[in-house]
Amino acid sequence: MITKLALRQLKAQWRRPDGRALLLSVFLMTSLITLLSLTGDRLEKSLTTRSAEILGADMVMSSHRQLPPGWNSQTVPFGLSTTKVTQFISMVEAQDSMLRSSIRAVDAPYPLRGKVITDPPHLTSAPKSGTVWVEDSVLSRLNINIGDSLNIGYSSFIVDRTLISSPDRGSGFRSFNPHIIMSSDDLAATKVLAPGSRAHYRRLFAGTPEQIQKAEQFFRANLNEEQRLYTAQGNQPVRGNTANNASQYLKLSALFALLLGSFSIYLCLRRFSADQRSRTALLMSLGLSRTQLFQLFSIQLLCGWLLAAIPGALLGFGLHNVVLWKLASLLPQPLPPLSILSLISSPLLAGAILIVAGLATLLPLGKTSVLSLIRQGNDRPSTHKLLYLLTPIALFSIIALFVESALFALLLTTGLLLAGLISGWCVQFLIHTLNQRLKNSIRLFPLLTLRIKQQRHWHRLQGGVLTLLLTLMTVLLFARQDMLSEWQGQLPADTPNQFVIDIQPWEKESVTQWLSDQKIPSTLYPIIRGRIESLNGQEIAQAFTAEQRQHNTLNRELNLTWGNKIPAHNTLNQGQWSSADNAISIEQSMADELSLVLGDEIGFRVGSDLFSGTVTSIRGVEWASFRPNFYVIFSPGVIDQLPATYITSFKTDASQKDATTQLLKAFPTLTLIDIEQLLLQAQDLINKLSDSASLILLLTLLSGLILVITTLQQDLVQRRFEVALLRTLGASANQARQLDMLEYLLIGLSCGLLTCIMSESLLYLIYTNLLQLAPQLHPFLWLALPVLATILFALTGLLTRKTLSLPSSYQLLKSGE
Amino acid sequence: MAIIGQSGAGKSTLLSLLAGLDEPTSGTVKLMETDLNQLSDAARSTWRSTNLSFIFQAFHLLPELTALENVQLPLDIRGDKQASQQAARLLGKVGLSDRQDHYPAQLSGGEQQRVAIARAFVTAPSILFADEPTGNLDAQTGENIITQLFDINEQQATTLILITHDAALASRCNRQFRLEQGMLIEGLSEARAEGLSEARAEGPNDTINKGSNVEAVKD
Repeated sequence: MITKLALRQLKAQWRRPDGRALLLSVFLMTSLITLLSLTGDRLEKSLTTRSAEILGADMVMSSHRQLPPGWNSQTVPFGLSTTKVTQFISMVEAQDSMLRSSIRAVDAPYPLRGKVITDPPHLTSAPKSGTVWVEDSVLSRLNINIGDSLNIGYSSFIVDRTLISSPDRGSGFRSFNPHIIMSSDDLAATKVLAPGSRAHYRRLFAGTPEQIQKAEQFFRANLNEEQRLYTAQGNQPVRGNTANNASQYLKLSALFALLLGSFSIYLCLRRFSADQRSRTALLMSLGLSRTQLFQLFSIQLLCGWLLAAIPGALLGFGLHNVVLWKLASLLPQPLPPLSILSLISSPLLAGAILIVAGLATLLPLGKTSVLSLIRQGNDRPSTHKLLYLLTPIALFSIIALFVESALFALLLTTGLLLAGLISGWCVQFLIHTLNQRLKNSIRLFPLLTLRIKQQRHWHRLQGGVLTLLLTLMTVLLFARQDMLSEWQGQLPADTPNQFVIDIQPWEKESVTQWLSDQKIPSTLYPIIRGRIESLNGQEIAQAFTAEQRQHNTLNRELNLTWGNKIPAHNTLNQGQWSSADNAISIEQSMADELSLVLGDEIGFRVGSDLFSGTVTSIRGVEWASFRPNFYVIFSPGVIDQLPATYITSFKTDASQKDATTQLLKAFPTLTLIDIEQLLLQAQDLINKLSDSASLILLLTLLSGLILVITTLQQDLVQRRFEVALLRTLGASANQARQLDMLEYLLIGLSCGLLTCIMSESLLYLIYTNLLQLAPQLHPFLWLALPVLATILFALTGLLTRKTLSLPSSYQLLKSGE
Repeated sequence: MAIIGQSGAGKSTLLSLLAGLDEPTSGTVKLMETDLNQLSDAARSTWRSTNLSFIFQAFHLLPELTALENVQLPLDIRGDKQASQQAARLLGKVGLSDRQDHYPAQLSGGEQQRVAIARAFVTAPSILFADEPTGNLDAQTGENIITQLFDINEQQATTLILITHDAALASRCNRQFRLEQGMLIEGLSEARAEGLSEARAEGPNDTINKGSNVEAVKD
């Protein structure tokens, strides 16, 4: 009987707008959270896997010097598997052709994570002694085939297989050269590496996350200056904290959705509970006990949950697959399997929120007295102050549990609430201001003013939520390709799109000649790698603060160059360009951050040689100009004699596309970097990511609209009463409708305007700080947003509004319900 | 019996005390040998649902249940296996056999109140409280409802406690009490009695005489 009654009531609830809003909130919340947690879970797992595959291990120790033999024994207690790699750059030779290659000498097994893919597939986990695996470009540039031999240093190797792809490629320009993998057993015989040779020594580790964590702690404590430690989980050299950033974004969205959803659910249930009061009294007068009453509502909540959360989870699962399909090319395949936990956690979460909000709103119903049926309106159940306090705390705890960090949840919730609160106040202020403008122009002004005063609490809430959501949508929409293309558009027309590095000294003349034959203007700059050793005779440890020592110019080797005039694309900010002996010119930001002034003497070390230079000028450098840029430029005569390679950049237009291929044919040891290609890839990446982010935001916006509908429902009774009163006092149905529409127009315009202001400010910040572009206004926004917001409000308002006929108005007033 | 009194005289308060819905600030309420104050909240609910029934001015039917389902609801709550037959029988008594599958929205005001009457009697209560049962109905419909109410009341031998401000209606009960300044006084006031005699002179006599059918208060 109870079940039947519960089902009948549920069916009746579905016909009511607030009943639908409740089911819709649960539905949307579950689909969003399912989408977010599934995507987050798999993204995190696959990016960690991907990072591990890029590293070729779970953890990598890297150094410019050979690792002491003791290292091996130190890893034993941690139970890690390990292997070692030596990577260096060397010229390889075959049939009188030379090619600069990046060579890895590896121990078997190699690698520990990910796979080396070769053609034909390899059977051993590393090349056999006397053989090498080489990339296709090695074969084509040296003009050899599989089975031919090539020379590395003093040894000759048979090319065994073509290297299709491999993890652990190393970082920086080292990874741009064609790759060759050989066995480390053959390394000594090549005699390529002598003490002091530039090489990278790496030790790869793999193990369980716990083992890695323990080993990482131990190694970190024992690192020397030369050594670097990377883990797939943490600070990867390759991808920064992409996995982390992505999951933070997903968590932020989830939190937003959860806050919106729980609030809608709470409000719907509160309204539901208010409606149930007289029914509860009646059922109790017919003999229903409190336990039965509790059952009655529990069954309804359970059914509502089943109806909304299960389809919600299914939709979320579907959308998750859409996102994965979008991001397919960015994620490693195959993807890690779905975890059941993340699939069921969202419906369970929705259930928990329903229970908490349900208890808070429905428990007081047990105290309803049959008396309320006799004395109408006199009997309102006392509100439980404790319950009002406990509910947000319980809801917050559930949410914090879900996002797995109380602090994160607290900070974000506070941030969002504050932002919402401030926007809410601003919207209310705007509504008030706009309303005052209507004072003399409309007849309904006094009624409208009254309405606005009555509804101000809800307006604040609606305005706050909608403004935040619309702002996020707008910024996301504009911060994508338009920005990148605008940025590209703002670059000068002659901005280079090709970089060429590794030009050897003997190739300098012919490369210059070749480029000028092709009518491609360019300048070649020598590069000599060196370190800053001292300032005014003091060692850097004493001369600079710890913070300054983190600067790019101090914590690694610098690209030094020399020349007899300032590069055309630099500006002279201080001092004079000098060709005097030992004069150097430094870059402005370096001067600022390291507190360097004209006249300072800086000591450098290049290999085993020491040099010094006196600062005679400070230059402004446009780092984003795609031209060779340098922190330090020497005057001629100081480092000219040192072995240098050359670098240049130039612009090719559509008709010169072939030129780069020909250049590489003519000079096979050059490394060419196609910037246009890189930008296209970046554009593609940004598009795919922002499409997924937009989908998530769109769903959040829908949740926000549901909340708006819910809030419009909250005082529907009061609104209907007001309309009924107006109708009986002589207002036409049209006037009553006009009043509603005016209200929606005011709040829509206010939200739209505030969204414009907030979006433009955020975009301004992004333009000036992140992209360093001239900010600009978006006139389209100022038109579109107020219109969009007004339409949204009018639509949601119309959905909940019911036209009252004159007789039903009388009825409503008479019945006093 | 009828309890009559002007608005604000305390009729509803008296009713709520009698029905054990409210607790008196002092004194005790004893109903059918049971001291309601001595019972716990839950025991009082159980006692109430077995012995008392209510008819309200605003009918209070559940809109999503049919007439029959509304009537059988109190029996369903008790887990009575014969609920449906009993309810159909009572609906027959109020003349709504052909409308038992209709929903409240499909019934007229009078029909709704007849469903409410059937619902009140279906549990065979000892005492039935009726609070202005015709307040929401026009005169003719109200009259028909009262006739039915009194008829069934007689058949079921229930004690009817009728709360009203209508002296004519009150005079049809066996005993009349008026509530004045917190005191319950037996009999209609003189002014009301006069008004009533005028009404008697004008109106048909049989409506008043039928009042004698109401059984005396048991206690």
